[in-house]
Amino acid sequence: MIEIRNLSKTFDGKQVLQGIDLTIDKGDIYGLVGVSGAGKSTLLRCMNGLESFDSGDVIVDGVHINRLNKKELRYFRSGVGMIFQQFSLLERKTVYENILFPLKCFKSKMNNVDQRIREVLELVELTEKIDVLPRQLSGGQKQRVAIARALIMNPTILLCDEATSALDPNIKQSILELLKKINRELGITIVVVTHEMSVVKGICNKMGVLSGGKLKAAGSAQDIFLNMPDLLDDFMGEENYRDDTSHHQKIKLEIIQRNGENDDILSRLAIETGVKFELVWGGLSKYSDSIAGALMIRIHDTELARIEACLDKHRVEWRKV
Amino acid sequence: MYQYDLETMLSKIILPGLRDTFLMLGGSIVTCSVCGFILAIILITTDSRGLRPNRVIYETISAIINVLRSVPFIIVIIVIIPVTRFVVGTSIGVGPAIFSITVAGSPLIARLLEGCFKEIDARLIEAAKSFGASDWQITWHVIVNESIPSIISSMTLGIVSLLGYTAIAGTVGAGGLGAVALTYGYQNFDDTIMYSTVLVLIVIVQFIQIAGNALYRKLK
Repeated sequence: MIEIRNLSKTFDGKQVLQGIDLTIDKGDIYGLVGVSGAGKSTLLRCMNGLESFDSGDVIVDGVHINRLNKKELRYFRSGVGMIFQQFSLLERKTVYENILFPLKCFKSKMNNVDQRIREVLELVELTEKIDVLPRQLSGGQKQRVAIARALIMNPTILLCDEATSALDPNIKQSILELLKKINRELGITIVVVTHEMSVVKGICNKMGVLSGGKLKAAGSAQDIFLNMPDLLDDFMGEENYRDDTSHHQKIKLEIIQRNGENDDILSRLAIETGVKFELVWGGLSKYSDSIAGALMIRIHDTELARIEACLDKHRVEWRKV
Repeated sequence: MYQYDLETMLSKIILPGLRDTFLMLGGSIVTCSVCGFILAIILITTDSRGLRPNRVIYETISAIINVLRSVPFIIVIIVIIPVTRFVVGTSIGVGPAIFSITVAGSPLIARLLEGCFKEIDARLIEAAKSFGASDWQITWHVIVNESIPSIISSMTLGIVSLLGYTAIAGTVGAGGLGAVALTYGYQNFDDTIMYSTVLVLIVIVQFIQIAGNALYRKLK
């Protein structure tokens, strides 16, 4: 479906992409991950000709896109939908007019335009907002409109550039579900660029890891997560956390801080026990009738004894969750 | 000093002046908007980050605009008198004034509109490109259409400046309220006429500003 061969691009004397080889099959949800500046957004833009490149080939459905002229490229793009981090809707146009815009650009003689717009709006579950302006919508709703706009031309491919990065976690989840649904029901191939591991884990069957303009790994997402956690650590930096792929069970502990005591407990735990733990949650919690600070950490069950000893030594209140 | 009675002052001096001012203002709003708009579109398109970058065209137009913007309007009028005579046939009256104001006002409007167009988020333009919009469609539907509210604000500012230009044009034979204030008020030491014209000008500016603000709120 999308085949990238030995793709290289320099910009301002800097090598942005270097010898990328990548194949994305029909029906894939392909994740391109990497820290910012890794070249993943540039690579994505090479797939619909928004970015040019110096050497190599990008072949989409048998079409060499670097051989298209300006007009052919326009028509090619109508078959590739794209959504963005900032939604990029026309602020002065209603939801209806925004979705209509791509059709208008091709003076499409589509019958029942109204019906088609309603169809895509139904798919993104936003029918009731058809005559509303984008500024009256929430971020998640705006992204749904952008998805509807990307789908109106019946694309075979949907490119997502950090499409969920500006959204709250639960809204993010609902957009990811929607993308999954689009992939499943319409058979649209989806390419997702993200710096968030959770997105790849949530929806991608395949992934490619980019760093410094080079493809460090590519293949089944599961394989990469299971077999190359070090690689993800190296190339994703702090954004990444290793998934629990070991046989150890993880347990959650809630550490309770009353009256602002033991506010340095996390660093003490880390220094004194040397145990790696994950901070799951922190904030104020209500305990029976008083309010206290609470921190939720996740550790392997094998480490419990050491953590317990340290917490008790400092006389910190805690409980297993 | 000759003293006019109120009725003569209004019907023979202020009202004809007001009429000329409105003619000059209306005419130059049309010509400056058209020329300024076209220039601004060429600038934004040929800008290095525009849809069709072209350094030569951009720099040439930009330089001409800068030259015209750096010469005070009163000097511009006088310098271009031969051109005005050639184009309009005379250098005195409303027609030549509109011509002079167009020469000096179009660069102003062009820069104001270019500023509006530059405000458009590049990512919005990229999105339009991504679903196959042509350069022309992007320019019209995205760049111009999305900046309409800021165009209104900038034009309000621009029109008030053009009103100022009409008054200056009055000093070199264009007529209008500027000429009234100068010849009847300043040179004839008639404070009543002087301050009445100032009052009328203030009212016009207020009206332009209020109308501009209302339109901005409506279109935003």
